[in-house]
Amino acid sequence: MNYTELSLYEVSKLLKERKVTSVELTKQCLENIKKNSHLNAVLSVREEEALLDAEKADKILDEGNGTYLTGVPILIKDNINMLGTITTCASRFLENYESVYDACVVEKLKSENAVIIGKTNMDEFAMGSSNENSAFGTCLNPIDNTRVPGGSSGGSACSVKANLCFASLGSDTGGSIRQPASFCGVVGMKPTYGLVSRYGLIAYASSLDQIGPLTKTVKDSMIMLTSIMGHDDREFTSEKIEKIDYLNNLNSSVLGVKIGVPTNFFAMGMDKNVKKAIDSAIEFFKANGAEIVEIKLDKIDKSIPTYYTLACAEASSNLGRFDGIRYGKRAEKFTDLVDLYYKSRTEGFGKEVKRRIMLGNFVLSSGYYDAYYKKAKKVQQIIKNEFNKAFSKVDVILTPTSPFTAFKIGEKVNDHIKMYLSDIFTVPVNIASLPAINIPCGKDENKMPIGMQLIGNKFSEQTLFNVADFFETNKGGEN
Amino acid sequence: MEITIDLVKHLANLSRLNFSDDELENFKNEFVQTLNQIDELQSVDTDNVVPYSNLIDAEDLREDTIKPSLSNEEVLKNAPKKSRGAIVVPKVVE
Repeated sequence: MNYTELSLYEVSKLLKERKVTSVELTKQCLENIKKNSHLNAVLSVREEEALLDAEKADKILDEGNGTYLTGVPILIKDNINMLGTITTCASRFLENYESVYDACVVEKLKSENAVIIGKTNMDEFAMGSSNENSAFGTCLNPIDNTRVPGGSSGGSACSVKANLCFASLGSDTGGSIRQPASFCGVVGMKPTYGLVSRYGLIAYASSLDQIGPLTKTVKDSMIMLTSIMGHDDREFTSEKIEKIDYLNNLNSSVLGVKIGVPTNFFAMGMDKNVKKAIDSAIEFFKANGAEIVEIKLDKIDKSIPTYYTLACAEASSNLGRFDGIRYGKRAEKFTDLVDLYYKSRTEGFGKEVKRRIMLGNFVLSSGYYDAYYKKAKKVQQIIKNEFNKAFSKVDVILTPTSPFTAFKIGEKVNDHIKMYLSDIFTVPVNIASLPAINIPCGKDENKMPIGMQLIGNKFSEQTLFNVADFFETNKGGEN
Repeated sequence: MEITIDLVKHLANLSRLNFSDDELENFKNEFVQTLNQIDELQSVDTDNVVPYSNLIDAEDLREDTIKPSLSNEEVLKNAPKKSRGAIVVPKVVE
């Protein structure tokens, strides 16, 4: 029997009841990775090690021990360090970089004896919205192979949809978990900034980056987030929060929940199919006892310029460490130390990464810092204030995740401004350090999934899960 | 503001990146578009607004205790060139 189509929650039950072994599941996932190599979703596989981990998990399960994740095959994005694995960030610069320690999230998954089977494809250094910026070739959308899976966690979303694993980890700086989840029709959760430790995540824009799960169902998302959350004293922005068992605390209902609909934000344009699916979701919530409240987020249209200013500034600083000296690529021919820096970086980085480093150095450089970087930090505060005001009236805010469904490979690659607009609904969430979840809510005429985004106030992940689970259970995305 | 090739060259130097003349010209053109978009920020009234920070309270720090760290071998594992427990770089002092 093929178990890979089951959800994490379902397969976890079978594992506990010993109706299936972790070794069997791991073999089936590894087989699926091989059979679907054309998708280019996975950059490296821990075949032998994963099977050993699975055997160990089976022993624990045989003794009647273990958690929901014990023995469950999982993939992680290739910007997350795992001891002994190659961690490339989908960049030539780190093509042969071997992690010498585990990221905090990897330690946590290992402590529950989850079976990490490999690393997923992504946009180089998590910069992109289509996965086309990977130095190792683009990952394909598993539903229509001529389309992009979204990005930057495209491989993580594709893998979950194509049953290469039962859940995956991605990272989200401006929508990089939610947008690919939307394009591939899976659940993607971007937690509140500070809920999940970034220790061991290779930084893109540190003040916006957050690790989160991509899963088949909302319940699976709860299980994964419970596992990876929690304080880590190695990480300066990690909040002191006790472990929360989201699944155990689940109250799947929308009765009396106030759902904010930012009408001016919607006016910024979206595909007609997306609009129809979102309108239908709003009707569903209303019919089931939620209160729909019209809200205004006046400066939300300034999110994209704010995001690119801040993210690129931080990226230009974070990527300064890639100098060809301590790790990563070193150019073969150079005249002196400075030439070594130039050549290693020029040969190692792709076009989009260079574009963002250049922009970042511009907004931080002498004479432009106040007009651009500092200005953006102030607009960020204004956007945050608008969300605070909105959350004094509503419990969650509903938007589409993306204004359109998965586009064709190559369609936007030469127009970076259009590409940046893919993230118009997701970027404000990172700017305001908030949590948000993507759940499938319909399909367009090409059968491509449409995603709905639910945004919550700081640390209100449980509320998001409650509403999302109710929607998934009672309406679902197959309408 | 006007974007000149000299400014793009200056940024390339700050970024420690080399570009051919064609690439510089391309970057310049793209940069004009990107800045047009980013300049939208200038229309927002930010008088009396304090820049946002999501850092935790700096008073609330952990104890500074010494703990084991990576070994020399682990630290050097990915160094492109190494010798006797150190990273080798081109000569910088004559």
